[in-house]
Amino acid sequence: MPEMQQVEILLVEDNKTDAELTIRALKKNNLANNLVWVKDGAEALDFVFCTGAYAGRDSSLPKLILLDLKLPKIDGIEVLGRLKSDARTKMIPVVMVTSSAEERDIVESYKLGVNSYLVKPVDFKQFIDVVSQAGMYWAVLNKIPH
Amino acid sequence: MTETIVPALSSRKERLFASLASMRWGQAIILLAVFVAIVMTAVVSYQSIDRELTAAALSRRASVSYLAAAVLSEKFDRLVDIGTSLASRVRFRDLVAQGKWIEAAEILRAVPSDFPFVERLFLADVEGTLMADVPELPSVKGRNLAHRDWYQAVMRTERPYISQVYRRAAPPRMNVFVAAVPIRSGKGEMLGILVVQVRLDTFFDWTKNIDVGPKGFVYVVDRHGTLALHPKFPPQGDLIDYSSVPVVQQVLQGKRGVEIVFNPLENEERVAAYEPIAKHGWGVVLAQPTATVFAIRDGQLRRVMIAYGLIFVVFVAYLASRIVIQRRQAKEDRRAKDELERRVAERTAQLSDSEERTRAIVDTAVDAIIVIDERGTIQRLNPGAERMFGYLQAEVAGKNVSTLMPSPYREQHDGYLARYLATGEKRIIGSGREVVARRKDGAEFPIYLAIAEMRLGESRMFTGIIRDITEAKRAAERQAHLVANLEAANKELEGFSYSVSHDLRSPLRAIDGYSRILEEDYADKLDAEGRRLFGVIRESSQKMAMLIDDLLTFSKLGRQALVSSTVDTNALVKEVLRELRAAGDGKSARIAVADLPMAWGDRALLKQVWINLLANAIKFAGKKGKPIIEVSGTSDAAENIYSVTDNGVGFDMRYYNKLFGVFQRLHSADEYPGTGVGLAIVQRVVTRHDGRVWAEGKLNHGAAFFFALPQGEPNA
Repeated sequence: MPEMQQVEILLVEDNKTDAELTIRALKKNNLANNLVWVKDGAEALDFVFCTGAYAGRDSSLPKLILLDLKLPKIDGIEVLGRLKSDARTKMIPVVMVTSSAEERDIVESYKLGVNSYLVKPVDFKQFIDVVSQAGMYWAVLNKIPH
Repeated sequence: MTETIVPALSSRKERLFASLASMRWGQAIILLAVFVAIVMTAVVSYQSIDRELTAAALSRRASVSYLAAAVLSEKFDRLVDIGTSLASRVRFRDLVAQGKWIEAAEILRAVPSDFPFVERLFLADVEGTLMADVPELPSVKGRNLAHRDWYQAVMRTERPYISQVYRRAAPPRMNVFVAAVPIRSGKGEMLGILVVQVRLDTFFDWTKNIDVGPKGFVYVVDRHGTLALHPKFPPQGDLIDYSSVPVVQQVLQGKRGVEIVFNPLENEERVAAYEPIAKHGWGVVLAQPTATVFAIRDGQLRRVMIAYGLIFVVFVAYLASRIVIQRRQAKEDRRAKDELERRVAERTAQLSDSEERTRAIVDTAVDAIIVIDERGTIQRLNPGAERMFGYLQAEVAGKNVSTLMPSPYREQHDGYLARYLATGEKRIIGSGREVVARRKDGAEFPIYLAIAEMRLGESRMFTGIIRDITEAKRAAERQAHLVANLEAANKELEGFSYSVSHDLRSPLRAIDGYSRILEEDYADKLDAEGRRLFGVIRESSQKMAMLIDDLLTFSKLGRQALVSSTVDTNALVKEVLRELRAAGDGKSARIAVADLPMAWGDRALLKQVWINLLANAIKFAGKKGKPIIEVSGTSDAAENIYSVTDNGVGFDMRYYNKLFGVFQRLHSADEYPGTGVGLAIVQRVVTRHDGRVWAEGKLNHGAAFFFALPQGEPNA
């Protein structure tokens, strides 16, 4: 049985088009090989903590979580809070991805310990650049202390 | 001149007396007593010092003259003793008795050398004939001297005698006197006379040592008043007769004394002390000018006078100052009294009005005024209260005030009043609050009740002033409702702008992204027109994104709290220009910035204002050959005014009302890109600072934008 490859990036995004654009951006930099896309906050938490639909998943943790702010069921801020308050998951870099620079969100995210924060530009080229840079930095270059 | 001065003086005098009269009597008497005491003491002490010093000066002169006389008397006694002892020698007596005068005189030869003042001695017989002399003078022997006073006196009294002063007959002629002593035999028989002749000049040498004081001197007269010694005359000159001088006459009569005499010859007043030499009939007189005698006394008296004069001056000065102060006081008192009387009169007039006025105020007041006593019984209801509660005064007077209250206040009121009277615990007395009242028809309505307490003698009364606040309450409720609505609307708007930013941007991103993917993945299937159309799609989506961003910024400005401080406008403008230039704007423009006043406001928001105004100016002047932009500012007491002027395309004042509107543009977006939100943001920020913004412009002749910010409130 081939060894399960560690998931590199967990993308939490309810918007299909944004998800597709994000994945395309990461693919361009060969970062989407081991990418899991979940569509709401509850699913994201199930995946990380191996509960619900993901119970029995091998318990490896993603190297990077790209977390959209506005999500159905459990929104991004709450997901961030749960991840950062749990000793097992608080070392995973979380990059908050959002459509607007609404200051409320930014302040709240940093309070909870987000590692980075990026606003999705409308311009596709810029979007690709921003997502790629974040992916490269956190998933490839940044070493998580174990 | 005098005619004008005299009345002035007399009126001043009158005023002085008036003020003296206005002094309290006790004070006046004390002052008068002090005044009299000073004057009396001055006079008495002056007199007594005068008397004492005069007496001392005179008695000192008397003593000196007495001492001089005593000394002279002693000297005469000695002369007599010398003569007597010579004349009573046995051998001498025998020789005289035998008529051997020359031999007898020989015994006396040594005497003149023993006593320098003795000029010579000679012997006379009982007839007065000079029988012998030592030292001998030629051709005197045998001369009869019976006419001399000494011969006559000795023969008469048979006692020694001091003669008068005379000028001797034998040469050398000189002024002399003699002491003549009888020569008696062993049986007492008169044999002759021994005469001792004395020179005046040597005899009186001792008088030089008498200290009489300045300008004082002593003179001596013989028994006839002839001067024997006078320091002002030469002792061997002509004999001078002083017998006519009054004090000499006194002394020759054997009187002693001190007198003040006038010397007409020297035109001088003198003190003369005189003393007789009783045994020998001569006299001594001491004379000194009164000016020098009394110099010390006069000096002393002068000092006394000055001292008392000073005391007097001080007293008078004190008195004068008292009078001035009292006059001022009196004037002040009179004024205060007048003022008081005026006020009393005024107040009396006011008070007589006051009663009626108070009644009128109470009767015409819109508010209800109710007076109760300390048991809560209604005493009085004004017409306002009658209207408000629907009762007439007659209906409720005497009833408990709780009649006007609904439950549960009605039941609590008696207890509350009793508790206040017992413990002073206040809930409403002395202040006011909102409560509920009950009309005659049973309707309840909200009131504002203020209660004041008054004490009338022993009893206490309470006055309630009541305002019906039904309307005010309703208005407040309406207002609260409005505010709630507004807040809800605001929240909605906030939520709206939040979702705009999230939800509108996402599809835009999809439009842009997917058209880009199409372009990338299907490039070979698209011709040039197809690629142009995709370009338009992307451009439009980006423009829409910009519009959304600006709209968000704009809506945020309304919600954000201002963080105000003093802002250094000069530094802020410099910073903005630096940033604009760094972004590549306005490089060709000449931008003149004058000194700008400091501002009070939110630095970040004001920075946005400056960015927008300067970027606008650069944008609209940019197409000119020489863009010129001027930034200036002025300041007055109320506000700081800033302006940005450019020489760009300007605008038509007809469209001024559109200038500061959101998404309003006066120029085409192709020519001058922009969303049309910049000036709306400027206006919003300035308005939030309670400032004003305005503009002036002319198409193709530039524009000037102004904004004014109120002066800072450094304490706020």
